[in-house]
Amino acid sequence: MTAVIGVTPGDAQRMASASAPPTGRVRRFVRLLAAERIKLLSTRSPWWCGAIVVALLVGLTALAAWFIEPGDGSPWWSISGIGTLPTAVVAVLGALAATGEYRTGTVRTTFLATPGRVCPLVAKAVVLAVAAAVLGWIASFAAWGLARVVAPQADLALAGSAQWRAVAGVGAVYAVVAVLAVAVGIALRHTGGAITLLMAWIFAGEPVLATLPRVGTDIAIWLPMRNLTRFLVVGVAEPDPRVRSSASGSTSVRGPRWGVRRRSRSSFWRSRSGCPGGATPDHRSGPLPDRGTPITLCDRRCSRSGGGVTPPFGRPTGADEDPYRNARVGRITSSQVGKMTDDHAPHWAEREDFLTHLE
Amino acid sequence: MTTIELTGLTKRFGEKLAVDGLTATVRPGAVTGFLGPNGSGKTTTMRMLLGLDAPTAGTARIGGRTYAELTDPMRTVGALLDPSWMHPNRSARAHLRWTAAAAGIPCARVDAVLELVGLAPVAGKPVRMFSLGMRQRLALAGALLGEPEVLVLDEPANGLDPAGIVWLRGHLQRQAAEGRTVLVSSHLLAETALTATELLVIGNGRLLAQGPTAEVLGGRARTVRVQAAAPEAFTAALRAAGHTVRGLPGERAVLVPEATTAQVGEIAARHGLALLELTAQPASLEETFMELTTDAAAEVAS
Repeated sequence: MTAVIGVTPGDAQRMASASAPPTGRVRRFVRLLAAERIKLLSTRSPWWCGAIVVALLVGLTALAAWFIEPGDGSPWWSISGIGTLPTAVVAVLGALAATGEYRTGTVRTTFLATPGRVCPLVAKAVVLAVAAAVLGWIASFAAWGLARVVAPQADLALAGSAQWRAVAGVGAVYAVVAVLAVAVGIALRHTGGAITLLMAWIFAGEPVLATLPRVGTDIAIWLPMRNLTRFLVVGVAEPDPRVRSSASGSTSVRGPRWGVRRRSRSSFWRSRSGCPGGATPDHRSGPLPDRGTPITLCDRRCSRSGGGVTPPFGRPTGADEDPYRNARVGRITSSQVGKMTDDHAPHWAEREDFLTHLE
Repeated sequence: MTTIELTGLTKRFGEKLAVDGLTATVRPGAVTGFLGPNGSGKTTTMRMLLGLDAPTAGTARIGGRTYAELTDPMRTVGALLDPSWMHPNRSARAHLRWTAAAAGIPCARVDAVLELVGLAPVAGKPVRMFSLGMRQRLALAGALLGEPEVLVLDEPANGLDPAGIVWLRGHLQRQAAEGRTVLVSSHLLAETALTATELLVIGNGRLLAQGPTAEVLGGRARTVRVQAAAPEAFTAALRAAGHTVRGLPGERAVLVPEATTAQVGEIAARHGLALLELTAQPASLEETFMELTTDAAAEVAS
């Protein structure tokens, strides 16, 4: 399947029909894949990066699993986002594989072997993607296995598609990150520059863009790392008497009297996340507000209540961090707000509508 | 039989014309020395020949096709341009293995060429531990991987030890004798003159001379070293015949530039002087070369 990439549709068609012998271009591309595989595995840095990824993912997952209490709502919530932490190392792996060619001049030897300029680079991206996927699977299944050993009482079975996605999806996420890193490496052709850019993007660029006032929320839904995190996180709530589903598919979790917890209002997020377990109030919300005290509207400030660790990106941890999901409402009682949200459940996808209504 | 044809090959880097309308043919069955001072455009010419640089004008073809048009380029052309084009942490064998894989050359050739260049004992060692000579051997092994019809080598003798140079010389001559086309660039004239039977001389990106080595170098005046029984009388006789005479410190022999042994012998016979020594001293290759390139510079100036 991989061999199809980088050849013309005609070639791919001919290759697809079993009777036709592989064409010259396909054969050459397969050769390039073999060459890139040898290149990748014959230096030490990919092995080191791989070892670090496995160690990080397995170690942190075990650590998180260690702190899972039997009463915690969703142990998956606690461990499922950890797979995004080592993406920085995967990015380094991909960038090194690409820039190393230019740094050492190996790329010219490559171009002597195959005069085409595109095919060797595509082959490199494909090989890195496959390697990163395999690495992700090894690391995530090992981490999952160890988590089950460390927290035998927690329900960490691969019960459904979300759970499978959280474990097997790590491979897909790493493959995407590796291809992005290879692309950056090829574009910059400079190891230091490529790694600096990637790290700056992961650790500074995305967090800053996502928290920009007013536009941050609109940008956030397009940020690759946040989306990859979103892809992995299992946020499906445990069955809870306080949870009910509305016709629109969003889930409303209403706390007893003092607050309103709602699912996200954008359909983009709806299928991906939810509040785990009992939606107890955020510990920072303080005591029960009196009548007329400003309260916090929060639909996803549940990370603490889930008892899990907080992934570095993507998952909101508080009002100050994710303005999209929180709105402070002054001079109104919580029960009033609760009433309104119930009234407006089908339209809750539009935050502005709701705020307008409040006003 | 694969011929290298350069037709009006030109490469401009900004203001500088690195290669200027170079037209030349490199025939199979001979080692062709590609000579020129540093920065004269040898490497640029080779890079264009190998598709690593795009010519500003003109074409460089191998057997009638450009490098990019070759189906399996490494099986047709073996190239050594820069021995540093390898990853320092990769072993010699791994370097050749991926090259072979990319070029569609069977893996068995890897050990064969490692044996051939004498790197088999250190094949598993990372390249960063190699000396320049060993890297040069490894790069040469890479060039020989596909048993190519054409060899294009840029300063292959750089860093080689004497044994390596002797081996390289013999190997290139054998390759040429088998009907292959061998183009070897160098700025080391003595080494090239020993290896190459044909010469291609460029300076400032322009062709200065092309032809058999003996013709290119031999057309130049030589120096005669002569020792007479009566040096003073013979020196006077030579000067009378219009030759210049240069004494050699601490020796009785003198040098007569721009003369042949026949001319000097005749003068001695005419004056009835006994000669103790009469040898033709080829002008040093460096001198000849300087002369060639200076001529070219003068031509350009006029």
